[in-house]
Amino acid sequence: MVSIEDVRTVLDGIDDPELPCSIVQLGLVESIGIESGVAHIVLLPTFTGCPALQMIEDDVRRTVAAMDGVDTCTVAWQYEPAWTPDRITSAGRERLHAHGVTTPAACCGAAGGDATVSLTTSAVPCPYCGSANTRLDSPYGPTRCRQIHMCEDCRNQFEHMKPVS
Amino acid sequence: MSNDVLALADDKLMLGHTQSDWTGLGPILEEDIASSAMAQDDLSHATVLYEALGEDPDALAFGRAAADYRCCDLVTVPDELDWAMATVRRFICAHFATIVLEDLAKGEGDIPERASRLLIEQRLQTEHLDAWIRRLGRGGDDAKGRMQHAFDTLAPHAGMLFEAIDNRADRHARWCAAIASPIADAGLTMHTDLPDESVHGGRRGAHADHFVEQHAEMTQVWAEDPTAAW
Repeated sequence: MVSIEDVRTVLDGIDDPELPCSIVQLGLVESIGIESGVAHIVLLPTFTGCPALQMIEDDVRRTVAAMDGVDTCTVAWQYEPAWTPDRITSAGRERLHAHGVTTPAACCGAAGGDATVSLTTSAVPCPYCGSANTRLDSPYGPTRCRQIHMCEDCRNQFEHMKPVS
Repeated sequence: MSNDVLALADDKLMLGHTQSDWTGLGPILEEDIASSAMAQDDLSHATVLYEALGEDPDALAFGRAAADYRCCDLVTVPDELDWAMATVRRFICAHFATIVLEDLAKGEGDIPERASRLLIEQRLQTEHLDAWIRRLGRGGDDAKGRMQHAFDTLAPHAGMLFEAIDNRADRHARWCAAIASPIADAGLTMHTDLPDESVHGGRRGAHADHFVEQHAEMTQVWAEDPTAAW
């Protein structure tokens, strides 16, 4: 008999295709159900336009269906509750941080930019040197869920999980 | 209600396509990426809204005759590869989408959950675009002149966003209020007249030539082989 925890452990071995972090650590897994050999996984998209969603769905379906005691696996995407970076686990934050990607709740909060003229307000500590002297370079980064910051002290660019609510 | 969903979805489908023309051509790298990301948002929002109507998104996106689309003229009017036009168009459309999504989020059935999720992404767009309207309007005479030209050129199309839309007077008033402050801060002006309902446009299938041409290009593959896959 396969348990929900067994499935969660397997899902924790599936990394996001674009981040060094598992889908469980990222907080994408909303619920796991098992019924007569059929596993039902409900996931939350980080952003609806994320091109990795189909890859994640395929990875989940294939990996869970291959488990002993699971015949088939269904995957559904759900919009409520909305995913936010608050859902990233502490283990996930550590892995992201080690790769130079910071997360909103792990630092001092919002970095949405001054709505007046500047696009560059930032209060996100640099993951490389720890300096708070950083600025928001662009709220649109390499993927839909990340934005780009620049450290004025060590002159490194780094990525920050976009604060959304 | 479903008319509004289809109108917004068709707007986003076409805006996602027209704005994708800028990918690789944006004036600076960050804004090229931002513009492309917003186009990506719009295409995914169209998909989510088509699904909410209980239809196959591909069939709705590519399988209809031009006259069956409900997008307004503004989303396909040629921007002459002018960044000011592209930015102002996006700004005008993003605020309209925000207002409609706010209302859809309070509706019934399957729609509110989806609309609430899309609203989060939509507000990130409006915040970013508001900042650029302010920035470019204050960016010196050349930038200001180009931005004012874009507002003057697009304003007559903007009113048609509200053609055949529920609660049009109320939504138009809220949209005017939302765009007023960034435009004023930028030192720019925009005419925001609500056109008479006797004027027919894209929302009732009376599309301009630029839409018909875009539609023909966009649906070419589907027309040849509806089962074609990536």
